[in-house]
Amino acid sequence: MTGAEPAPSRGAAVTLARLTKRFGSVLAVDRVSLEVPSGSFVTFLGPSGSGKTTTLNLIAGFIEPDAGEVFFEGRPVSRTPTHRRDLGMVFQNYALFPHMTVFDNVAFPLRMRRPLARRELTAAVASTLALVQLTGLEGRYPRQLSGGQQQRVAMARALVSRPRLLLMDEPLGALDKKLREQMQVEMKAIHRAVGSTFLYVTHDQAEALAMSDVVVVMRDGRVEQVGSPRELYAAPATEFVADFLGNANLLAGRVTARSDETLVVALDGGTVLRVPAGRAAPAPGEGVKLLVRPEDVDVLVDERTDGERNALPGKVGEVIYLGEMTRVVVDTPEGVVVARIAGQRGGDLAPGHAVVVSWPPTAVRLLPRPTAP
Amino acid sequence: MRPRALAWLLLGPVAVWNLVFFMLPVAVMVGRSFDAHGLSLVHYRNLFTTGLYVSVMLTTFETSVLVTAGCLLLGYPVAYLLATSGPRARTVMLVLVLLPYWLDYIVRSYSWMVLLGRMGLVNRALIDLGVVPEPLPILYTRWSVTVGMIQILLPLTVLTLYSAMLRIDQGLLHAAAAHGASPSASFRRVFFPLSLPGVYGACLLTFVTSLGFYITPALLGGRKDTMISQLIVTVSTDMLDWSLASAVSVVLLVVSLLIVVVYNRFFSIDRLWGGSA
Repeated sequence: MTGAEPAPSRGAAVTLARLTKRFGSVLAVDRVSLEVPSGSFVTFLGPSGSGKTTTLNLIAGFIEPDAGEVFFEGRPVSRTPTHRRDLGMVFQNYALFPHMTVFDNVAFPLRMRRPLARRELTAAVASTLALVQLTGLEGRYPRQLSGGQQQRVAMARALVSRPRLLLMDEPLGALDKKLREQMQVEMKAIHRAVGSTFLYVTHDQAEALAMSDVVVVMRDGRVEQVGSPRELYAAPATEFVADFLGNANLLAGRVTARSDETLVVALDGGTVLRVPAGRAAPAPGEGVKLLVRPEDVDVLVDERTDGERNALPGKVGEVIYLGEMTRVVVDTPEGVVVARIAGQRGGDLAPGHAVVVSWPPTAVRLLPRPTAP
Repeated sequence: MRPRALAWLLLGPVAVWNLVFFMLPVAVMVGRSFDAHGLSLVHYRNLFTTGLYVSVMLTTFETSVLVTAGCLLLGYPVAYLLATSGPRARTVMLVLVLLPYWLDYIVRSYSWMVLLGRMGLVNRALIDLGVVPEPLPILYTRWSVTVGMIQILLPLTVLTLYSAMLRIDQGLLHAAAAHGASPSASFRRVFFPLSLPGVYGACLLTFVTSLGFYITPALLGGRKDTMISQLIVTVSTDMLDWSLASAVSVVLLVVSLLIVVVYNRFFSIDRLWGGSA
């Protein structure tokens, strides 16, 4: 192996150093390096097959890495079997023990890890069930519980022994939308209450944004970008991240001129726009993609736009009323542009209307344009 | 074609076959067991009051219990290994388990005679090694019957256990490990309890099959190790007492059915072949 190994910090709950795992000819995890600060809520986000679950399984110790190392608080753990890693884990299908009651499921980690007197055990189980708001069902079996209740039992089992590291593999994936959103809020509160490090895996970008301190976007076994939800949403480093987190209008073009403050971009459809030049603005001649979030786009019926704004003429393709806002899809010479209009505006728009979409140049984010293959 | 008509068409041939060649003979047999120039229980009274017959039934029961226990003890670890191995090792082991199963059990019973006989492989080895001065009487004992039957029935036990173990969610073992269970604790607390339905099922199949065994006890057993199927043959072909033979058969049939019914009452027989409880 070549390259400098990042030194594992003792302050980090988990450090991944060039972690690599291959399944047959597929590189499932490809030299992933990462520091997870102690006590943080870190989410691995990516589409299926991006390596996020494999990374979690490597951290849990269910599988061994082909190369690289996992450190817990600075200590390498590749030779530590799973049951000595002091973990809690919530599985996608919950993996509750079907032959045990709720009480025995939740008591399981305590019985395995530290022998307690019956009374202490009962108290610990009761307080953990209270934490996940599931009291009074101790005698039931998992099959007698609803999906949401099973999810809470799984949380309680993961939390009861107060492990320093909690791993969660799409724990809300099997719940309906409303329950999922409620559990996101509760999970955040539980994280604050217990103070453990949470490592969370999901393919749901809204979930990742809502709960995490840090989001690790993964793609094809690699880390695409690491950052806080706000950083990732506002300043995605790549088109993939921009598209995966939230909705994105991406307009392809080429830089034709650059001054200290302004960049002139000729879009592929012929429109010329002026946008602020960032610190690392591309040079004239380079291809770029302009990212504009739908909430920054306005749709006007008349042609008058003040010269300060970037504007594109177009035709309304579709108007989708969503209650708190309206989604307007507009066909422009540069491709489809989606706008989100807040509140109750947009009621007068209908497919076929000639409109102008516009946005403030400061809302534009410049992304590198992948060279055509 | 209506589904109902199709169902009859599909089931028809086997239904007719079973009716003519199985249900009818069984009915004739049951009728004969109650027949002594009129309806009578005399054959059953004979059966249950004659010391020899009662002891044959007890021997059958004891041997079947021993065989079932032996198959379970030897088969469980094999099934566990099968269920927890990778696909390649699993295929090799499955073939090894099935190989003796494909060999006719009469052949296998004769092989045991060769091995266990007075001057068989086992006795020769023991004498040559100086362990014993003269051949041990191993063949024609309860033990030779038990060993032979275990060897013949073991694949059945292993495969039944294995198919039940395959249905245990591997994720549960991950969950156990993630929450502090060592491999042995994980086995004791999670895997073993969840494998119990398979254990009961394997016991049922092995035991009921053992009850009706004929060739192996006939070849490997002595006079005192006679089992119920041998009794049926002796009574019907040597004594030509077809009514008594029928009564013995009915007892075997009823006991076997009773065990299956009781099992089904508690564990649902579907589960043996992959249905859910």
